[in-house]
Amino acid sequence: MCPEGTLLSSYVDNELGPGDARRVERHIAGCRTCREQLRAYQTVSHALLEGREPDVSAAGDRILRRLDLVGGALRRRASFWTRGVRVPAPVAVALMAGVTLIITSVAMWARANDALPAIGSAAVSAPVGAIAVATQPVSWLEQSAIVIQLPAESQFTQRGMPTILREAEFSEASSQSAPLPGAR
Amino acid sequence: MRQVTERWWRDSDFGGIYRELFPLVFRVAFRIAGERGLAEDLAHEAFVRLLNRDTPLPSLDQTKYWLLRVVRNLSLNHEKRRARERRAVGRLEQESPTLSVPADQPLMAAAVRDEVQEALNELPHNMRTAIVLREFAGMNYRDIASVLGISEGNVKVRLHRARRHLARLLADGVRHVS
Repeated sequence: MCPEGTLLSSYVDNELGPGDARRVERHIAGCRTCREQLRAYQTVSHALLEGREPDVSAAGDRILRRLDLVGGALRRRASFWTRGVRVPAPVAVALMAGVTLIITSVAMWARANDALPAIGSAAVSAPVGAIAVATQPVSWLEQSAIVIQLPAESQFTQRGMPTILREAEFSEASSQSAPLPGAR
Repeated sequence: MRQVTERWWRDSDFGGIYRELFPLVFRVAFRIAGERGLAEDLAHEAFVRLLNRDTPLPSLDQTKYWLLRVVRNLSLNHEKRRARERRAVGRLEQESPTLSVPADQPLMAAAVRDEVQEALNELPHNMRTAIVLREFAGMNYRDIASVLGISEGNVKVRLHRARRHLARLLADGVRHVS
């Protein structure tokens, strides 16, 4: 009984185990039909390998140029400083949000520390003469907006337009008034 | 034109991989596609896809199988598209009898005739791919099965049928050119 065609084909490809290969060899030694079929398969293999070959090296150069065109730095290696780091998108977004939060917090803290307490203590319920004392030594006055809240219970009388005191008059006026809380 | 993004290959020897694998990939592409221009396109696209991978493949063998699988899938897609176009042209010719094949086409075909390739082109795509991987890439059944995503038994059957078809075609001098 003749073996299946797949066995003959596998025999051509050396894909049979030693036992099967010996059985096929014993069979084809006595079977002309299978011998011819085997020869036909071997002829096909030879014909395929003898077919016209394409010019591989020219094609290789052409494709490498095309790859280089779209790839740019195909043969370049990136230096340490230009090398990228791959981070998943959610992690990148979380990192950016974190950095923004930190920067905002630091800026707000610095601003709050720098300005507001001095404004409050210097302004609230201060006599007119003492406000001038409070304004002198602090530098933030040049940079920040100032809110001056006048005491509600004070009785103000109109004495004309405000005037700029000279240094001698200013010292005299400030020595007669009580010192301001928080003012130096 | 597809864009290549720089990824794993910046730190790898892509040139070495290319030099090593291109001849094989191109030969296989040429024998499956049946024409040089298309084979170049297939090989080019396969390497572009390799460059666009997020991670390198673990070994040269794995890279080879991966590239061959891409070539096989691309060629199959191309063949399906071409068959659709051929059917559309056939319908058009039936509707417009004035459209016909140019008279010099058989002569041109004869001038560039390659019997082996003609015989291969006559095979169904699945048989052609199997025989090309076996004969031109020298792959064993296990590796062919891995590239094609089929069992080794199926590889055996496809190869046997491909050889039987080819033997008949070559003996007849490939008269079935479509």
